[in-house]
Amino acid sequence: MRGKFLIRMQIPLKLCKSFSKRALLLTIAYFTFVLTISAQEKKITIKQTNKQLSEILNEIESKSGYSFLVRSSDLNLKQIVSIDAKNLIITEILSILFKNKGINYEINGKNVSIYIPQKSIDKSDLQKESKNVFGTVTDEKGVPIIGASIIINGTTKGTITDVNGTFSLEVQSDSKIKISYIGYLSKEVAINNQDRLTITLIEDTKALEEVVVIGYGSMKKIDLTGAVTSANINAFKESPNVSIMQSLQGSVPGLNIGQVNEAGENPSFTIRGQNTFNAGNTGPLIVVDGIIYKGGMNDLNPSDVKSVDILKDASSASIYGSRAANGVILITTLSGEAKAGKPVITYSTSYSTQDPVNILRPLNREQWITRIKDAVWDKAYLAPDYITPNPNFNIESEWVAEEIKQGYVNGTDFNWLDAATQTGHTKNDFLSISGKNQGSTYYISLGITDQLGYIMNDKFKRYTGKINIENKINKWLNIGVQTNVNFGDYSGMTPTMGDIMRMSPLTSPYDQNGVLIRQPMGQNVPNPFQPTQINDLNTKMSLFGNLYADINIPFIKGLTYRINYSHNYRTADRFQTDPNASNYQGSASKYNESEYDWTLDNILTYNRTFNVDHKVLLTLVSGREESQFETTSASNSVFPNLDLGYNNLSVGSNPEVLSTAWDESSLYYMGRAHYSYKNKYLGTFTLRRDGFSGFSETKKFAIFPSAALAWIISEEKFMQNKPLTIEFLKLRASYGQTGNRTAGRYSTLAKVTAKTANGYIYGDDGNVTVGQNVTSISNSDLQWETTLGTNLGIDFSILKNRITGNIEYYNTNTSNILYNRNLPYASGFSTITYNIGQIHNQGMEFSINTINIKTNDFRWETTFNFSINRNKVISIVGKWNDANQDGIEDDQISNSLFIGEPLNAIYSYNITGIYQLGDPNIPAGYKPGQYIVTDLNEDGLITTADRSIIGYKDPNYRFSLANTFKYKNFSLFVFINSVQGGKNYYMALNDPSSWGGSTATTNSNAVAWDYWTPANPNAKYQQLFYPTPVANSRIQDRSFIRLQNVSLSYQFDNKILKKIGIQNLKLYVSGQNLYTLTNWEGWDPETGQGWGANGSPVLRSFTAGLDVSF
Amino acid sequence: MKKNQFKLIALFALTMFVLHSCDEQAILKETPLDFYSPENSYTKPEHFDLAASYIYNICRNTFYNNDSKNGYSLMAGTDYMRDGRNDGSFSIGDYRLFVPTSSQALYWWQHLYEIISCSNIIIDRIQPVEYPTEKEKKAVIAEAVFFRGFCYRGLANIYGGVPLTVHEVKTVKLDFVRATRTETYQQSANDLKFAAENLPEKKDVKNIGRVNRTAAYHFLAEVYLSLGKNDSAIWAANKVLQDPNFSIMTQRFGTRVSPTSGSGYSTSAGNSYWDLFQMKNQNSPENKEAIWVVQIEPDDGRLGTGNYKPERIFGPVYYSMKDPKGVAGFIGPTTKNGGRGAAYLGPTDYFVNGLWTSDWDNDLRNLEPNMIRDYLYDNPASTYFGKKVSENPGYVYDTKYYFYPIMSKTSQRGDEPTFLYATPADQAIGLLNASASKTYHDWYYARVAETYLIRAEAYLAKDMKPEAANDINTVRARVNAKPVSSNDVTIDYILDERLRELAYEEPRMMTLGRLGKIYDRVRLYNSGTEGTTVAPRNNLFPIPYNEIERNTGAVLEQNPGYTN
Repeated sequence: MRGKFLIRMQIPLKLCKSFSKRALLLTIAYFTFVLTISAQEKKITIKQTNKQLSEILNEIESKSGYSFLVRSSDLNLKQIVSIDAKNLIITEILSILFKNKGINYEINGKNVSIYIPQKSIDKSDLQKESKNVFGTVTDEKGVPIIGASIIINGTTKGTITDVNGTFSLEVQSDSKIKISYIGYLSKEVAINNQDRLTITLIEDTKALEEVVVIGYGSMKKIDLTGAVTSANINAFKESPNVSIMQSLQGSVPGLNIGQVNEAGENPSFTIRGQNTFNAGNTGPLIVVDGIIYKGGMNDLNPSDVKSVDILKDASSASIYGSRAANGVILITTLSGEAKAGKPVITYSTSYSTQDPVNILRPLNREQWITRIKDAVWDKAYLAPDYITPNPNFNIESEWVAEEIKQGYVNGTDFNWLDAATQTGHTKNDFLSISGKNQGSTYYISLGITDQLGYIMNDKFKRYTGKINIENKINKWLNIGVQTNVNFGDYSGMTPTMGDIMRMSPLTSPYDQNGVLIRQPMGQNVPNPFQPTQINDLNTKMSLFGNLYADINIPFIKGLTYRINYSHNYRTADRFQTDPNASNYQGSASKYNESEYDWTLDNILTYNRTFNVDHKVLLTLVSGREESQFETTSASNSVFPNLDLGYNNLSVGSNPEVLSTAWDESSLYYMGRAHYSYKNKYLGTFTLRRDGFSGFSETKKFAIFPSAALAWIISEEKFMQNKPLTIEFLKLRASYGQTGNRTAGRYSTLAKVTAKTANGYIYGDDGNVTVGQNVTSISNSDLQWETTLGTNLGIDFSILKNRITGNIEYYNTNTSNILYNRNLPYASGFSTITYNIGQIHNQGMEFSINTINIKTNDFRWETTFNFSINRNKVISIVGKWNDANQDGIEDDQISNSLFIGEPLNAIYSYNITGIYQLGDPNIPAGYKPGQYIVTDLNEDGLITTADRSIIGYKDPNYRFSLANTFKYKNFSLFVFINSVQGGKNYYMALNDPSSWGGSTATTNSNAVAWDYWTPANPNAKYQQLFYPTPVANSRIQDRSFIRLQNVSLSYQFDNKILKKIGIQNLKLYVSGQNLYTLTNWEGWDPETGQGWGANGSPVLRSFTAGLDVSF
Repeated sequence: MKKNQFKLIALFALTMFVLHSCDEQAILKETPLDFYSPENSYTKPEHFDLAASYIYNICRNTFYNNDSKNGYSLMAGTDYMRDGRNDGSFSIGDYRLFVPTSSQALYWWQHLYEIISCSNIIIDRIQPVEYPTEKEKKAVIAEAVFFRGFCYRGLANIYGGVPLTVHEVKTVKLDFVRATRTETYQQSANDLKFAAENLPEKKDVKNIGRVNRTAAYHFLAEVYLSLGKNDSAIWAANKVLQDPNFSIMTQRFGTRVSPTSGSGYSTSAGNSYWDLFQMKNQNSPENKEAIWVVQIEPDDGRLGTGNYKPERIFGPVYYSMKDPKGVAGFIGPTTKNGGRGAAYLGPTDYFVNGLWTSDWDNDLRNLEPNMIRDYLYDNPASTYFGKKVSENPGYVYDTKYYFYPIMSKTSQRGDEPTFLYATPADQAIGLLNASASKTYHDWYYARVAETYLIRAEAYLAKDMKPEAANDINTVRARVNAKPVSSNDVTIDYILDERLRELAYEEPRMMTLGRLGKIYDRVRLYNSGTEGTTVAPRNNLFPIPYNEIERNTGAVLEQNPGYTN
């Protein structure tokens, strides 16, 4: 069952017919644990005549600080009573009040349960031995749970826990009690003659009572109608992730997060399929604490994040209108509310070492020399079979650079890669303090991240600070502030991997004095270590502050108003002094960037339940947002000396300055109506009107409607005698419209260019005048891209909640996709950005969570996620573009867009093998060792006309498998992530020839790949020296299965810890990217880097850490 | 008291809700910060000066430019010029390959319309702008209108009737349709007439090189010819020819009147025709023949100098010839021999021989220093040093690539800027470095000699042959050529005379296209691929297919004989 807790909460409502009373009771029932203002045995005075019982209870509450919980369904709160009491303590007042009314009460801490004793049960109770049991309820960390409900099985009798998480209850010794609390798994405990009980509730992240942030408000998960997923961020807490996004990699079906391979790098992420042509416009909208977020994900410390909710379908995302077509990610940071009582100080620290998962090693001296002979096999070996070495071959004649010849003679064998790389590490320290004082809650944190990458000088340092404070000013007003400070230091230039890998092992970077040699391989190839000599300052700072007020508007029960006023200021500085630039005469530059955003949101929420069965949640939003951006850059080159570097740019002789600026503003209005009938039939309807300065003059506003319906079948009568195995079953269907503001600011405006290069010199020997012209036409029709999406979903929970999960199917059509449309030249302009393309996406996702084993000591849970997406280009510029007149719009081959095909198709040559020595069929222009390319049009030539779609870059499907094992205080988490291509999806071109190609014999080094030589005829790749005309890349499958995370943690026993003043202590070790199973060759399948020289490895890390709280 | 507070709050909330809905449009108004927009950049008189500069720039770059090889396609493939390399890169070459998708067809269309667009933007946006006097404003408008008329004249000459736009295209327009050729010429005539009436005289123009009313009358005369309005043509030509400020140059003038020496070349044999093409003589106040001059400057690091390389494109590769013994005959490209040619486009046999036969030894245009017909071996290492190539054809001698006559106006012979010499020693012997290839003297958009030939056409059309002959002879007399008798004046004679006078200057296709003579003359006089492949359809250029394809809202008719 979904838990009696909810039902119990609603009991008093049935009795009550007055709206105001009902709202009051709701408040009482929900917030009993909140109103706990200190009032120890306070004496109060109360005098009321002929008032409803509820009103009197309300007055007692406000005067005494006690809270009432109505526990019996037949207790009439409307009954008229009178009371006249002076300076009495609570028990005395209640005795007077309930005298002769058949109402009993129990006081537990500051909570008073009132009920009507049930005679039948009481009778049997009397026959048994009853006793008082004392208990404490805590969460897994030992933090007391306030307001947990304790019910004696088979009765409606029970109590709730006080601020210390304790309760006392009179029970029969053979009975069982059930303990439940929002967000935790309910627990049944047999009394068995115990007097004291310690009950630990386990957090139930999958619980349907879970509250989900849905944008401009939150909702219980059970009430959701759209495809909204809460990410399980706790599972990845033990991994050394710099960005919260990395922690979500693979954990939410439909949220696709890329791999990272640089210090401080933000992974790329998308939700569901690509629905625009420009892959740069596929990022989801990020909302942090209700405010649309424009900073980098690295500016948020993952330790500050409380929850991440993802709006996947059009109906739920449409509340963000013109920016929601790529989905919405809602991030909520921690606040004091989550903790309670005395301050909780949490400190966590971790240290990780990082090494490549897979590194391509450059060839050493001996290998390289062999490779050069392999490259010029027709010279280095003797005909006809080219296997016997040619005694007359002089390898030195193959080299151009003196330096290499010298290295050959000297026996140099230098490993450039080892010299340029190191074992990386990530250090994380995080300290937070949170708590609740009187009416205010606070959360303050400080985090330091120190990362050293794999390549020398690849560094990242971050300091984050956060202060979230909320003050309860009075009964109806809460004022709070959420702030975030981030300072990121990305300073330090790294050598380019490709430059390092290419260096010949016969050369070395330093001379005898340890000074960098400028061109160790001659031939104008600069020393790859030169970038490390750049004095590079690269910092980013962001300040965020949101001031808000929550007001409970009194005249209309359930109506609240919230105002958010947020500011975000970000700066980036990039200063460089490069002694090697400008032909070693030096250059220096300064770049400053700042962006300032502010947001003002007015949110009215009306949350009421009428006649028990009708739940209504109305939300009205009106808001405004503005961003201002500016940059200044100044640079100079050719310095007499660089002693002052970028701090005095005026010393150089070629000054250049540049500045840019923009601003943009948005206005929006949103209305959302959510209605639920009998918790069975749910509907959500939203409408957003979005205005954006970047939209064209005639289309400043866009309207985005959506509707979603859900049916909780498991609540139906016919399901009441349902097979025992189905506890919950919900069907959802939604339809909505979202937009993508791809056009961006200023793109609808005509632009004028004025510059001297376009000017004219009148007369002889004069100077140029500036020439000015209109370079782009204004587009008064330019607007957002529109995505219309359907989503069908099923949520279920079966076998006593042992198996829960959901299945989603979606189908979206995006139209008005921006594309540069050609204009007739007669207009004076040649192109205009136009809303014209169409793309179709559909896909399926499911997530299944199973509790495989559940005993007191051992628990094994598994989560399996799966997602699949297919897209199709329906139209690019319109049907008219049909040069071959076949009735089907023409493909845009140069942009890799093909009508009726998925986006990201690979249009290339089909390579079927390699021509061998003596092969009689080698066509003119081809040599042994080159690829056999299919001549598609059979014209006897290999031309661009022989290309075809040979695969698709997008994945076929993705899945992940998470297993959590808990044994006593140990917890083991194992996470496997996979992206699969099936037959021809998730393919990429892999081209080893990028290593200097035909110059293979001269300077460039390489790695060992399987290239063709007469001695290696069955190679996978072509010969080295003469690349195949036209086609050089082989297509390969990127599919992989990765053991992405394994973590083992030990949670110390709370009882022991308490004695030394520690609330919670956890030690853990974890590993990331431990093992990858793939057929992909080269750097890494997930980053898609193959045999290319300029790749970067994905890092494997091992972490040890501890979390402690006091 | 508390209730009042609530009321206040509620009021506040309500206010916040409606507050910014008041002036949504003002909040969402987009104002660019770091770039100019038409709204703020066409508001003051000086803005229109900059806009005019741009037009001068692109007009020059369309007609006198090397960045797009198509710029030469109005000269190449004609009756006097052939594709020197048979690769079609600078010319139409094989007319069978001159199809709607050819780049030449697109080039002129696209660029002339761009100028029209720039003109329309000025014409439309200047209306609300305040000028000190109405006359000044009208002159600015007239300048833009002139360019529009100039371009419609060009479009009509080579494409026939084309879509007419006389306003800035501010929104997407996809439904252009062709006007008739007459309508197009009429638009051009209207524009040029307005320009002529409102432009200043040449001496009063704001900057050297800007158009004046005389230029407008000159082109107006030509357009009237096309409209069959011969009297009007004569009237317009008279506006030029009867203007005391303009005349054909019959006396020596300018920078090289006194013999100069240096750079391995000097001449005292100059004449007034030769003076027309010497450095700085085009803008010279002495030069009364220049009506409108395109401004080109040495590319000495300044911007906006122009990039025109007739010396390179038209010149033969004489400096690579070897003497009969196989020894290099030349020390390299020299200024005295006319620079560093690459023979992309060479003269037709007709231009080399037939055109001049009647007057071979008199016509100064066919003689040194105007025409370079021979070279002397100048490599001291060669035993043929100082001997004529024509008499001692060497190893790789041919008349297609290495050795053919060239008019010296294509280069700045003997007057190259010093930066084209690697060393002072090279400069002393006139040996050019590898950046030599451009021609830095200015060119004539229009000069008086052509006006005479235009008026001659008009007289001929009116069957006033003596007057026609008279005009032609004015041009001929200056170069010492024998007068033509009025009986011999035909349209082909006039076309020949235009060649002799205006070769390498006039965009020849404009004239042949205007007269429907492309097919006849190319077939007759171009003995290369062009002459054997040209077809009657080629009297008009094809409408670019690219444009037909873009124009989805209406059908742009293709010219007859071409298939899309």
